[in-house]
Order: sequence, then structure tokens, then C-alpha cells
Amino acid sequence: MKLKLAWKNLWRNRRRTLITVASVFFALFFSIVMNGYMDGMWGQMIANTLKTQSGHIEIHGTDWWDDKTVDNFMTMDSLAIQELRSLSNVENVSPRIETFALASFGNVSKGVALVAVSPSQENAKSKLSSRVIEGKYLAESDNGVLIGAGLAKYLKVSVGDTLAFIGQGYQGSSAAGLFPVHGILQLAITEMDNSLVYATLPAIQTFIDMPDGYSGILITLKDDRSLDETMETINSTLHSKDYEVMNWHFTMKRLLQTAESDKAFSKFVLFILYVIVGFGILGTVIMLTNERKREFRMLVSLGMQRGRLVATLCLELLIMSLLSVVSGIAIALPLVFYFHSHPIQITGEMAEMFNDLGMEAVIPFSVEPKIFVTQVVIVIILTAIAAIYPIRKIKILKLTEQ
Amino acid sequence: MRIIETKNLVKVYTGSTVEVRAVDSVDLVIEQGEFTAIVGPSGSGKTTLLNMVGGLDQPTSGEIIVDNVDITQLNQKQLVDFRLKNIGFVFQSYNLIPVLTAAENVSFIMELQGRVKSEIDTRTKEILSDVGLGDRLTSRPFQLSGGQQQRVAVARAMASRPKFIIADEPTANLDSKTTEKLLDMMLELNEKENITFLFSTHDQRVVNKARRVIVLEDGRIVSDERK
Ligand SMILES: Nc1ncnc2c1ncn2[C@@H]1O[C@H](COP(=O)(O)OP(=O)(O)O)[C@@H](O)[C@H]1O
Ligand SMILES: [Mg+2]
Repeated sequence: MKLKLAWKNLWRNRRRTLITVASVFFALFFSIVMNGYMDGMWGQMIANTLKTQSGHIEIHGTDWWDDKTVDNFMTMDSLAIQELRSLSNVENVSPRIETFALASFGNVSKGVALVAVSPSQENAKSKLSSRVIEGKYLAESDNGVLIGAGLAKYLKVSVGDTLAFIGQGYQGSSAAGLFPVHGILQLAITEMDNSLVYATLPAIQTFIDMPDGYSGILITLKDDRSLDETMETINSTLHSKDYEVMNWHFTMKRLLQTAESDKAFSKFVLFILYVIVGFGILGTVIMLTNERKREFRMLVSLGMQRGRLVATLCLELLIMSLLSVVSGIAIALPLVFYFHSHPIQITGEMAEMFNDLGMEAVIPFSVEPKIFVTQVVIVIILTAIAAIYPIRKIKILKLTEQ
Repeated sequence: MRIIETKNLVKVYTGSTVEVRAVDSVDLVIEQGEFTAIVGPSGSGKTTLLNMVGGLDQPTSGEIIVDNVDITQLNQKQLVDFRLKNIGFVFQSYNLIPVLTAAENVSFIMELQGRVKSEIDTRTKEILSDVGLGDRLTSRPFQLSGGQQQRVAVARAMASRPKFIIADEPTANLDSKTTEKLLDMMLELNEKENITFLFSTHDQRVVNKARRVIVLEDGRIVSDERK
């Protein structure tokens, strides 16, 4: 009976109910799509960065993070590296050296960022070879280098020329070496294009006089969900105080913060939207309550407890919000699932940049259940707040007023 | 058998300047099966008296005893329950739930009382045909005339066989022909089911139908006659 009465009452003012339901539906739908897009975009960005640029887990020498000098580099023998590769959740283990040096050609010099990697592994990770516009990619035990096109222009070097490098070696020694330019890279990020030099690990280890020396080891995982367990396994595998193991929540703090502040704006827009919709619900509820005051009085006079009356009214409002929620999800769900499996293609400059970083230029929508649950909870809370008005009115309703 | 007894019932409204004794020292005894009209000019205290007897309003002083219980001692929730179980109400207007059919309006109170469905259905049909609306079970209030709506209201009040029915000017919004019809029907039900009616009016034709007439003036009973 309660349900029947609530349902019938809901359609007393059909147009008003429909307008209210539609406004909540719209807010909910818009929020789900917007959140699906934003979370999906940043999720993709972070996942790509983890896969192609950094890693889920980084291993460094204990002091390296705070003071990134050659003296704080770590050493690890190939057996230990092999052991890391054999861990179950580990996808890629990429030891590398990142340091600075002064590169000279003729009478031009420039400070450069020197990155030493395993060429084949780096290619697997970020498709670096596709960025070579002149010359050729590095071989495994090459002692040549690849340099950014901007840098090449600045130093006026071309493929086949030899660069002189001066830098800091291990334990205070100074490092010096000659490296032939094997290829020139086109890198989308100008800063990188103007200063980046790729070399092989053996070449740079010799340069800094530190066999088995690395600035760090990047590890990507198959499944980020068992990040903590894998961290522990790695820690116990290494069992050494010489290493520091960090996960990406720490190493990519800045990117995460950027993501949060970008999402914050869309959250603010949605917040405003929900405030408007909340007032819409409240308006409907206030009108509905005042229209029915005499009827409420009659019902309590006849012997309906105020609590039961409140329950019937709340049921009516609940049905109203469920109608919006169910229809909103029913329409939004297929849409976000579609854009989850058929991601939006990015075009233009943004797409170029994605490609350069070895990322696919697409934005798949996020279908995290959290997104849906949050919107539903918001709508229910808004309705609950609006319900305070009639609850209060019914509680203080006088039976003898005419 | 005594259904209602009031002892020295007083209701005082205190305004900013004047004090109104809307009901003044009323001693009243209503017996089972009586068909009583409370009459008096506007402002004589009819509504106030009926509201107190019906447990809708608290007296300033005095007792209202129904079934050995002084209902002035009950709290809000107990009063609601008391009304549900013991009293049928017919109001002047806004009597029915607009979204429910005639039958649903009648069943509603019995459902609140927690009666079984089969009993409710039988009784609803019986009482609605008693008031001459056996063919309007599924009509909604807006599809019924004012007189028909009041008949549904009477049927609803009667349906659960309350100890008594209170009706505050039930015919105030009806024309004279409909008024007579409603009163005849109430009388019939009063005789058939021996249910006690206590109603107010200032319509002489309604007064003529009553078996007992109580006249109020300035909140006091000035005459009380049984026919
Ligand atoms: N809520 C109230 N506040 C103040 N005075 C009231 C109130 N209700 C009724 N009265 C006064 O009490 C008196 C009796 O009113 P009422 O019982 O409505 O009379 P009737 O129903 O016979 O017309 C009137 O003088 C009326 O003005
Ligand atoms: Mg009155």
C-alpha cells in the first residue's frame, strides 16, 4: 500500500516529476561521461608513462634520489638483474644511466643529458628507433650515440662526426671520451630535442669508469594491483641496504598532482551542476509538501502515524531519484563502455607528442565502478537532504488549523 | 452504554489582548448508537469541541473519557493510534486522497489498522454499496460529485466500525438536495450498524434529521434535547 501510494503520488504532477527526474538524469549522465573521460585520459597517460618512460618501481643507490651525482650511483651484477627479471609480476627490467656531460664539437660546447640504455630494450619500451631521422639506431655494444636534432643543429654535427664528452666519473675521477654520432633523433619535446644524448650502457660505464654501475633500474609490472607485494618481493630479493626501492606513487608525484589539479576543474564544474540540480530537487520537494499540507493533516487525523507518513513520502522521493539514477546509468553505461573499448583518437600536436613518447594517441574511457557508485551516492544524498524539509514539516504539522 | 463523557471541558484561546473561552465547562455524555447534532452560530465552539472529543486538540482543562480512558492523558503517538482504532472522521472538505480510487480510499484506514485483505475487500464493497456507490469503486475523487465524495468519506469512516464518528459540518459544501440524501444515508447506517454519530451543523434541515440536538452558545451548552 505504501509503495502504491508513493508511486501514485509521484505522478500527481507528472510534468514536474519528469522535469526533476530529467535534470537529475542529465547531471548524473554528464558526470559519468565526464569522469569516465577524465579518469580514462589520465589513467592512459599515467599507464603509458609508466610503461614507456619510467616504471612502476625504481631501484636506486640509497642517496641518489636526493643527490643525483655519479658518486651515488648503484652497482648490480648481471646475475642479480637476471633474478629481478625472473620475478613473476615483472614485465621489464631496464637498468640505465642518466647523467650530465659537456659535449663539444669543434669550438662549440653544450651541457647535455646523457642517457645510457640497452638499445633493444629501450626500443621495446618506447619505440625509440622510430624517432631516428638520420643515420641508424644503436647496436647493443655500440660505442656511438644518438642525439636530438636540436642539439645536432646547435653543435653543427652530422652523422659520422665524433663528439667529445667531458663529465664526472665515479669517485671523483673525471670522465672523458669520444663518441661517434650514429644517428639523429626527432624528439617532440623541444627541451629533449635540444639536449638529449642516447648511448649504450657499456660505453657509458667505461666513460664514467664504473663497471656494473647504474643510476637506477626501472621495472615495469604486468599488474599494478599487486604493486605492494612485488615491492616486498624485490626488497627481499635484494636484501641490501645499498639500494632504495621506490614505487611510482612516489617517483611520479608531480604527474599525479598535475592529474589531480586537472581533474579538480571538472570536479568543480560537476559540483556546480549538482548544486543546481540539488536546488531543483529541493524546489520540487518544497512545492510538493506545501501542496499536500491539508492532505497530510487529514491523514494524521484519520490515524496515520507521522512516521508512516514520512516513510511514504521518503519512499516517493526515493523512487524519484532511483528513476533518474537508473535511467542515467542505463544510458551512460553503454556509452562509456563503448568508448572504453573503442577509444577516442587524438589528433594534431597532442597526438604527435603521444607518439613521440611511445604512447598510443587514444583516450579510452574509464569504466571504474567507483565512478558510477559515487554519482549514485551523490544523488541519494541530495535527495536525502531535500527530504529534511517535509520530514520537519510533518513533524510540526498542526491538526486543528483550517 | 456510554461512549463519550466529557467532564468540565474547557478550551481557552489566549490572544494578545483578549481571552476566548471557545469551549466553556462542557459536561456531555454520548450514548452508544446516538445520532447527535451540535448546533450553534458560527464561533460558538462546535469545531473546537469536536476536535477535542476526536483527540485532534488538547483541552485547557477537563477530562474526555472514552471507553474508560481519559484521552487527554495520551501522548501524540497514542492519540494517533487511538483515533485509528476508535474514531471515524468526516471533514468538511479535502476529505479523500486524490490519487486513490473510492475503494482504495475506503480500504486505506483498514489497511492502516492491519486487517486482512479479504476482510477489507468484502467490507469495502459492502459499505460502498450501502452508501449507493457500489458501481463507483474504481472512480477517483475528481470523477465524483461533492455529495458522492462525502458519501465515500462516510463509508470510509464507517468501514472499520469505529466506536463513534465525528463529522464537523459534513454538509457545509453541499446543496440542499445532496445534504438531505447524505443525512438519510447516515441515519440509515446509524440504524443498520448501530454506530454513534456526533456531527455539527448550522443547517436547519440537518438539525431536523438528528435524534438529539445540543445547542452551543459561546462555548456553553444551552440546550440538549432528545427526540
Ligand atoms: N486557533 C485559534 N486561536 C484563537 N481562537 C480560536 C482558534 N480556533 C477557534 N478560535 C475561537 O474560538 C471560538 C470557537 O471557534 P470554533 O470552535 O471554530 O466555532 P464554530 O466551529 O462553532 O464556528 C471562536 O471565537 C474562534 O474565534
Ligand atoms: Mg466550525
